[in-house]
Amino acid sequence: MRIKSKIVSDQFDGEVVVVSLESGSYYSIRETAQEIWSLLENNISRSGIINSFSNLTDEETSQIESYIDFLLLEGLIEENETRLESDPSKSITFVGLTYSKFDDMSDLIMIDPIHEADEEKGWPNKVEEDKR
Amino acid sequence: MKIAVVIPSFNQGKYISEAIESIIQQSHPVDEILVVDDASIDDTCQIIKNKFPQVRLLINNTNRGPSYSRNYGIESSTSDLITFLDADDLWPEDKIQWQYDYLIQNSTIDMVAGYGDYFFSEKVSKNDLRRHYLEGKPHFNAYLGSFLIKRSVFDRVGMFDVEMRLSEDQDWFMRTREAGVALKIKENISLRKRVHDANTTDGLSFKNSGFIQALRNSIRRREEINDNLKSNL
Repeated sequence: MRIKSKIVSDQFDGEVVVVSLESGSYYSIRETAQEIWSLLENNISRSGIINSFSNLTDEETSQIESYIDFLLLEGLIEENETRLESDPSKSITFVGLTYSKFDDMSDLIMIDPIHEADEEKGWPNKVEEDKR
Repeated sequence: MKIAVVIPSFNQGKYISEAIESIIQQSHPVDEILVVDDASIDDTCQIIKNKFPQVRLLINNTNRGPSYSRNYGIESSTSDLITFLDADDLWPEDKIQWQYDYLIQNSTIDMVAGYGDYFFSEKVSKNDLRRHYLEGKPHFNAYLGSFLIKRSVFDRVGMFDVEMRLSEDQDWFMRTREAGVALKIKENISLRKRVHDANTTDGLSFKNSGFIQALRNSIRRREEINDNLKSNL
């Protein structure tokens, strides 16, 4: 799995805030959900994510599956060909999945064309002649 | 109702005369023009003193950032309506006229905004990506210069966050939304934003613009309200 290209996120203490420049929605992701987001940033596969936890109950496994499905449905992540497994020496303890979606700033996130610029490189890059 | 415009300025001597001219040339005059010089090392203060006797010049002894400077300007003004202009931007001639008329005719509206339209210094290359995305595309955003705001809004939602040096305008705007401040957006252009070779946000990606931090602050504030509601049940 990997994070899609129009998705920008920033890690804070105890929370990652994820913004979709495509839909204008943003998300607050915490606790175990934040740790799973970090695994996704490292392109870990779905099974790799499940295997990163020690002693998951069936209920917890199904919560994690639902969370990954939610991220897929929201267009934040996508399947990719490389199926990376996580580092077996690092075992995560399941605490709880806390995540919320917000839509109230979509006009600001989407309308300002400055946000269409490359979210990593920033301004001002040269546009290639043939694209104009 | 009296109108004040606050201009925070840091080393904008090159452009500030043009900005002030665009205020003086308004078809409906403003009552107070306050320039807050944020400890510039260029000739900003000299220009104001020599050319614009009608401008009230406030000076920060050290560089305090745009939030502090705007707050200082608001607190020093006596007007009922507040607006802003960055020292390198311009107003179209009718900005105050239509925004003032709108607020007078619609007493339930707390602030009115128009669209911001970018224009480019000749020095900016024809191939610059900013031209590609911004030229000829007026749009709404939390550009403070495109607003006219009732003073009471600051009493309701507070002043600009002096801890924030980036996206402090977005942060303040989010607070007005959370508080249910009545905003009218019209498609008229009410701000001309200059793109030159040294804009403050140049080279900053979306991620580094402070916008995500402002979103996070907004999430936190709403959670606190919910927590307080729960604890009061």
